[in-house]
Amino acid sequence: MIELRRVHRFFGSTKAVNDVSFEVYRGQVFGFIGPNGAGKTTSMRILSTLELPSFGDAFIDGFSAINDPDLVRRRLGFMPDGFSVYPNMNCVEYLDFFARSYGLIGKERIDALKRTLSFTGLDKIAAKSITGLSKGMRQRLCLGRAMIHRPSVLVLDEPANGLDPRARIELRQMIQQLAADGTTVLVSSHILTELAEMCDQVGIIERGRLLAVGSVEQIRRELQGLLQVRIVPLDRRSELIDWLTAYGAAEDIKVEGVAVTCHLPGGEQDQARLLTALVGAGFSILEFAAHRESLEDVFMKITSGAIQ
Amino acid sequence: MSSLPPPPAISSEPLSNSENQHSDIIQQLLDGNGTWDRRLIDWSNWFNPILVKETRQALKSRQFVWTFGLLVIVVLSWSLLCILGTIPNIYYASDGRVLLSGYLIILVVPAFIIIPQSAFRSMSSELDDGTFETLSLSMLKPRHILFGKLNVASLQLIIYMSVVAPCIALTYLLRGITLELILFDFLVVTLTTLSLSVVAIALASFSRSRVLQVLFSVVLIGLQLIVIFPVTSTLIALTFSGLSGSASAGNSIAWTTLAVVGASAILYSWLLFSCAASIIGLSSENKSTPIRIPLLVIGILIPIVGLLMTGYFRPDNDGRALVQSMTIILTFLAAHWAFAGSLMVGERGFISLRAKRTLPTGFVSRLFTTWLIPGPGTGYVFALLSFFGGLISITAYMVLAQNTSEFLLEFLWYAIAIMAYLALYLGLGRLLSMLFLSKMQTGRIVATFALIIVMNILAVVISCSLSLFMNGYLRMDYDWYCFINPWWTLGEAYPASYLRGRTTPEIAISVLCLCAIPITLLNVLLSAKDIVIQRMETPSRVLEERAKIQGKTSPDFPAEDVAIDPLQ
Repeated sequence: MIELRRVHRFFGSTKAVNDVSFEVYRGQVFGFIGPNGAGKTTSMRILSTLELPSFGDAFIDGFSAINDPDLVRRRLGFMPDGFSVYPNMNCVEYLDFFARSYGLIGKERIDALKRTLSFTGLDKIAAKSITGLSKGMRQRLCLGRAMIHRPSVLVLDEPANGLDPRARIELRQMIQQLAADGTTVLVSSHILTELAEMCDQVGIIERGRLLAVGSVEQIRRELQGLLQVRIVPLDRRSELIDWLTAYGAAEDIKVEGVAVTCHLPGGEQDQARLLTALVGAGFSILEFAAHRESLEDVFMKITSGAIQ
Repeated sequence: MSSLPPPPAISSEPLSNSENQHSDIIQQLLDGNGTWDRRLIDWSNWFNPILVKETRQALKSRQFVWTFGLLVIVVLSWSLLCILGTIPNIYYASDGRVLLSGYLIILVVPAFIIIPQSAFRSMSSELDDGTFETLSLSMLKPRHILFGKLNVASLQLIIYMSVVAPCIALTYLLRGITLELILFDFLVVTLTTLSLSVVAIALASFSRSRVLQVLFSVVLIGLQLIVIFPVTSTLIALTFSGLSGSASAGNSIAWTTLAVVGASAILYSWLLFSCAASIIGLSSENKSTPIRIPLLVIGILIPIVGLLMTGYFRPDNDGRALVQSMTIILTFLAAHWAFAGSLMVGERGFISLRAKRTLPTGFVSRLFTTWLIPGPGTGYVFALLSFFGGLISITAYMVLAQNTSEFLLEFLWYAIAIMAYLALYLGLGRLLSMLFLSKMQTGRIVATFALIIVMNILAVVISCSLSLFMNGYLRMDYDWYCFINPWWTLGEAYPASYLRGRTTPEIAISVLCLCAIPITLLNVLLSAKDIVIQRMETPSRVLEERAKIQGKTSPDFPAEDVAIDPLQ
């Protein structure tokens, strides 16, 4: 389990992280979203014991990142956004070195290496030099290094950055698999749609402040609560607009090409009720679609785009 | 889009061959190709992981292959050249010395230049490339990482020595040298290489920016050049003179000097190693105490070694010579504590909760280890008390020795002056640091150190200007108002009036003491803040977790941090 409790980090007058608190439970994937310089990496580095907070504390399985960093490190696998390599090493040697560094010896180490190579799909290129690996393979190797000691928490800073679509999907599947096996994952990304698909919770951060936390659905609901409805009638479009205005619940009624759009408060029940009423009123409906705002819409709505 | 197969679930069971078509290749990579490979891999479980990693890297690196190859070629060429040059006399001439000198000159190039440079590069590239962060997140503690780098340097040295060793065996057969001499030469080469490597690793650990890295690499090259010539000359001189030599006083002095230089190299390497470990360690760790311990040990050894050397070389009890020796020892000791104290008084007066868990609790522990607690106040008192301890021992020796009574008073004035300067400048440094540098999060220690140096420079400039002004800009004469200048005052107070025909500047030293006493008292009062900090109990859950790990971890990975309280 991860807990950030009132974490602050100041660099001179810059508040890189300003009073950030959230919790992530076992087996959950938490997505950290924010523009560049929002404080995502600093928060992750504080959690990973690589930086000290100016105020507040971060905990992993109840152990403080400030006071018990050694115990936190045992439970943690960290994948930074940059990939640093050692020259003159192949994949097995690289992972073997980190397995040894985590105190794994003998059969335990061999098993850990086999498991990691197999999980990350690196077994086919185990003897290949690291310097010759593609970006996607390097990210796999980096993930392998982070999980070689079977940590209970994985902190992944922009793991999908620069990957092609296939590599991204594969990485996402690996993360989901790890979470399904009980690993708590904290992941940051700029690719919002991807986070929406794999995260149980997301946190939107800007200028060091956590603006919203919760499931994507929760955040959408809290922020908007309105469904965007698009209706394409066969005919009587102007009558439809009048009818919708008279209906009362619909807001912001507009004509967009052949369609009439409006915002409807409430949930799916209200959506069904509107459709029934429309049909009941004798309108011939060709298309009726309702959707909530995407994570990207929510992100754009919450953040101001300001940088510090 | 989602037609890709999901990755297999992580299982603690090893995968069978049917599950993994590449398992044979992996098995081969992990287990090695033969019995010896397998044995080596088994043994490597007990080696430092960095040693294993860097050995693997070195075996594939061009630099190592070239150095090794060149060394083999040069050593063989030298052997052939010498043998062919002396071939008619080879059966009876004692040409071993010439050959050995050549091998030593060949060996010191990789040993004193290449090995420390690669240690520096290895450590600085870890910090540069960002690999250090991922490494520090593992279970390797800072000391493991540094020891790993040092192990690599040792292994390289062993490999280079193994190239030279068969030829040196040949040299031994050619007569003229003894086995002890060969072993002694190797000992000197090993000690020098490892000391230079420690310096290189420490300098690389300190260089957190590109500018510092360039600066420290230049410093390292300079140090290597400074070291390589005297050490090589000493080795060659020893090769030609032999180990036994004559039992003259000059010979004894040379041996004792060698011993002192060797001991100093070991002790200061330990100190540098502790500093480097602290620099790369966890931010919340107690970084000060592990450095204060070697500082204290060196501080204790300076007067002991000095007194032993004096007793050994001055058996005639010549009073004047004894006073001179004591003054030199005292000055060395003061320089040691002035340097260490200038760094300690710049420490932040903040102790993390983690460090508080390691504070002493019992009466005896607190009595003896309170001054090892981090903080500028404890640092100030620690430096002063440690110096005072040394001063008392030296003075006691002087009092007990014969023929020194006529110089004792002069020596005491000198000792008081040096003590007062330590108290005054370290105290002022600490107070100014508290006033002006309290908000500095990083670099406060270096800033305080610089502040003390600036104060010293200002004192020199002011006292000289004042003296010139008072003497109508004609000459500079020492007077009581020059007491702020430590160098001038100590020069005047140097207990050798019989040489200069001058008197001790008693008034200046008295004024100095009048200034130093309130500063010391104020600092001691302020240091109470550092002392009253109480130990925090480690939560039982943390203790249980550590105990659990301790039972599980291999001997190379201590799970619990060593408490700073040696009496507990």
